[in-house]
Amino acid sequence: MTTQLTSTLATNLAVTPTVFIVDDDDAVRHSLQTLVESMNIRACAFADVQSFLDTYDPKQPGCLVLDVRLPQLSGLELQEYLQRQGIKTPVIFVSGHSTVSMAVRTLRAGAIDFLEKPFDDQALLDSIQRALESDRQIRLDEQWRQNVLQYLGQLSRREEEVLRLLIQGKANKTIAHEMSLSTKTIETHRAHIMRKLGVNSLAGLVWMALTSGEYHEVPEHLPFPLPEQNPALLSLR
Amino acid sequence: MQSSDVPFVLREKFRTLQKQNATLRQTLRLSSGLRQRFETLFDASPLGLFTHDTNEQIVEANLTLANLLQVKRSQLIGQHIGKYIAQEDHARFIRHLTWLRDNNKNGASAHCTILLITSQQMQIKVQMKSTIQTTGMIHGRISLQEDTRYPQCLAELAKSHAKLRKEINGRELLEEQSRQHQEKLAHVARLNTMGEMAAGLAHEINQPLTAISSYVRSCLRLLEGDEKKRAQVPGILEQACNQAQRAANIIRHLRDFVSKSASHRETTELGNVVQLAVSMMRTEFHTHNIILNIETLANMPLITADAIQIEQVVLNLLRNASEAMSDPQNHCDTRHLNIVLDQPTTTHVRISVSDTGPGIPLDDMKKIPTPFFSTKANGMGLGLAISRTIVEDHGGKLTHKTNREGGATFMFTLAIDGKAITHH
Repeated sequence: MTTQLTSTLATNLAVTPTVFIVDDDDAVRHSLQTLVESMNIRACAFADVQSFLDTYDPKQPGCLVLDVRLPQLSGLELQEYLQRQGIKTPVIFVSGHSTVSMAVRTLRAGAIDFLEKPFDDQALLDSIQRALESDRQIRLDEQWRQNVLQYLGQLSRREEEVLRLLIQGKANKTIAHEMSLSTKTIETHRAHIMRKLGVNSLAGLVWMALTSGEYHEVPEHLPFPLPEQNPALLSLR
Repeated sequence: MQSSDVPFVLREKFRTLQKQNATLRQTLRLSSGLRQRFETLFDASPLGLFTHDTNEQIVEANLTLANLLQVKRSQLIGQHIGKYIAQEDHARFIRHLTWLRDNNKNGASAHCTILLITSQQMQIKVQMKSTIQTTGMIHGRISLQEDTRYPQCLAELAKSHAKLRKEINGRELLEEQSRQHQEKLAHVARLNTMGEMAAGLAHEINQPLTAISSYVRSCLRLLEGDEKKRAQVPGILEQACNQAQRAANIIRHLRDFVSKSASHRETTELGNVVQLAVSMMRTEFHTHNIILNIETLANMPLITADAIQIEQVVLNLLRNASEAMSDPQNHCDTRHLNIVLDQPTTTHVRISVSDTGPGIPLDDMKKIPTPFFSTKANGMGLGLAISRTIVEDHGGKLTHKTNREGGATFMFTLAIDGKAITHH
């Protein structure tokens, strides 16, 4: 099962990442594309947000290099729009006349970097590499999550319930008691769950469940309470 | 018979006397009529007539002479005639009289040409004919030799002309000074505008610099690569050069715009002027999401104008429109800016700038082009006043109105020949 998972991820990573550039100044746009291509990275350039959105496929790995100010829809608005759509493609902002508040706003909204024109090519290259790495990670995580969800989807209602109680650290006997079932039945369920999820330990089981983002159960006995709504603990990335 | 004759003789004598008396009375009446007639003719004569006694004191003079000498007749009577004769001609006049008296017979007359002096110190050259009477009285007759008054009048005229000329020069100097002041003011306003727009303009220059920097960096990277990569370098460097040219053009334009060079009219393409003004506003429009639309008549005539000043006017209107629409207080959702170039008459072209801003409040309508009136928090209120001066200096008019569908339109005309209307 595990080998099957990694192979799916490998096919996705084989697609060449692309840097999408959106800048309304013809020369700046073209020079940016030239610069990125000279770094042996694929680049694709657009004059405005709409023409970018018309051709953009979120499945395409890569990152965005956006001018903050664009006609009609601005770079900031595109960033917000993509976030609302759940598209996590990393964004690098470039701006010719920036303010601190603008930079803060974009970075807070998750931008990889905010570069002032004219920028150092090394700074841009570093940012692009960081962005592409981040995008790769996001896509790997997302791929993993999708796979886990696929595996979790095979569980029956009852098996899901058993899984929740297992994550809370409860023994088979306690679970059997709570569910008014026999310990033997619980053990069978547990074996089925492990087989369906392709793991051979309780640790693997818990890890799969937690990384899916679908299970938020917490073990009963902890030395101190978990912080509330800790995203790192809820979906682990 | 003899005794009876005496009363008869007396009666006859008396009758004769009565008759003589009647004749005398009639003669007197006749004489007084003649006298009046004489006086009328005397005064109406085109010749100056006068009589002076042996002491050369004027005893009689006609109106013609009085007028000639620019005095009242009453002032003339009793005066010594020498008072009205030029100093240099006194001797000649005395000789003239002496000769007349030496030939002392009734009716002798003599001519001489002398200069008279009027009470206004004007010299008149006259022909004088003096006729001596038995009583020793001399009748003088004066006719104008030639009207020497004309050259003097001309001199007077020349004098007043010079005075007028001086006044006109003074006024022209003032006008020139005022024009220079206006030019200076317009220049200061341009500098001020540049100051306010510095950030946006810096961005305009930054764009080509960014492109140049990226192109050159690309080249440096490509030069490290294989043959195929290195082959791309010349083409990219070409692009970099184009961008350097673009930056240079922007800077040249800015320098022209802030330069202090005196106003000069040249053949100007209005469309170009508008484009240059728009290029300075690009960042501004961009920032505030203002959609620009320019409509131009297909065959706009070239005009004679000071291109920089006209650009200043257009820029001013564009900035006003942009600020009106982007003011957060005005809550403008649609931000359209329309520029229309057309030619309403054979002698004038027109530029209209319409916005979809809040329009002009009725109260402010009249105050708008007056200096130091501004609706902007930190506006000097000089922009439109200077614009109006510039437009009028180009024989045009700056007007404004509120659009039916909201927003304001400012428009101005320009004389194609660029000549200001001198009468206001």
